[in-house]
Amino acid sequence: MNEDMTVAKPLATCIPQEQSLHNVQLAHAYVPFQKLCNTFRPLDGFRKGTIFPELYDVYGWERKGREDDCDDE
Amino acid sequence: MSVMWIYDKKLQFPVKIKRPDPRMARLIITQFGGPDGELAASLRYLSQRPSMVTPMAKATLNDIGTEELAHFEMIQSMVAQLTKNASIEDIKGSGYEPYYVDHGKGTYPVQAAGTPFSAKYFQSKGDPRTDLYENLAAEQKARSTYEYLLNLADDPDVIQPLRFLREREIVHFQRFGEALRYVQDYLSDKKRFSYGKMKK
Amino acid sequence: MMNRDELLKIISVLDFYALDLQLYLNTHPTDRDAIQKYNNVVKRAKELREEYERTYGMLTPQNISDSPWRWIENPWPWQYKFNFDLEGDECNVDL
Repeated sequence: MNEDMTVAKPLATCIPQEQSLHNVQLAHAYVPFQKLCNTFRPLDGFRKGTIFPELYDVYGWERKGREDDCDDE
Repeated sequence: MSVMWIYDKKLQFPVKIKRPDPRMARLIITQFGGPDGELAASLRYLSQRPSMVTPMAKATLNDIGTEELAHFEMIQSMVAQLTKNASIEDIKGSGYEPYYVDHGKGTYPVQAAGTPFSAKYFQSKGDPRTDLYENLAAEQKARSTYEYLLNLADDPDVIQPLRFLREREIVHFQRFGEALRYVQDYLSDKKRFSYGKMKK
Repeated sequence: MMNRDELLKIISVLDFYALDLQLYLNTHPTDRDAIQKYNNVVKRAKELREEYERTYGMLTPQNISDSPWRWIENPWPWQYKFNFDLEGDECNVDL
């Protein structure tokens, strides 16, 4: 199994896919609510800047050759 | 003894920089006193607090505004340590000279190009929706700045705290986004029933 | 017994864990699991703070002091020597 799969699989189940927003209105922005899932171990979360794996490097910048932390989420 | 804020005598994340680098200090200082820096962030959120509706939004602005002060201190520590043992030879040709003639090795809130800190860097609009949209954008701008700084950094002692700070911007964006959900619900409820249903 | 840097590191790590949960709880005030996690971490951090302050000096001015007044002791957080080193392979350290 490649490395991306081990990271992506549990993460995918951690991000709630909101099926419907109530009273959706135009000209409003909606950020989906997080739902507590796994957390990094305390020291690992500290080094990464968040204890929440699903919020770590959401925009993918760290993964561009900079990743050197523990892969244990 | 009990005041608005209690100083905790430690950094949120350690700053321990062995190698002087006035060039990097001159760049990182933009997160001390620049348009997308930590001082602007803190004052922005703390200034906006009274306009917030819903307990979630008030707490979010209060606590993120407070965390930004801890980041302000981390950036200050980085700048101070990057210059403390720098010799005049290190400073010559580093780009730090214009700052040096005005401030020596003192930490003064300016942006990278030298403009002093200004409250013009943020708004407090008296409209909770408007303010939260500003805050979402502010977190993104700060994240971009940290990425640009990281592109220009090569010392692991500098990179580690910058990466920590970059990630905090993402977490804060999420929290402001969630606070915005409550605020938008509150405001649209109010519109339909004329009176707010949720306790302000 | 842990040395100063080890103790400071664990306190910092636990404080950070609590802060990230605190911000989460502000927008998820009914999440019981998160509250429980938060309470556990805060309790543990409090114990370690007391241990640190007994030996290495005041972390906040809310504490009692020996004479002379310990709050002014060097170093301060912005100084190199105040801070602990985060280098090294610590991936398997559990707190």
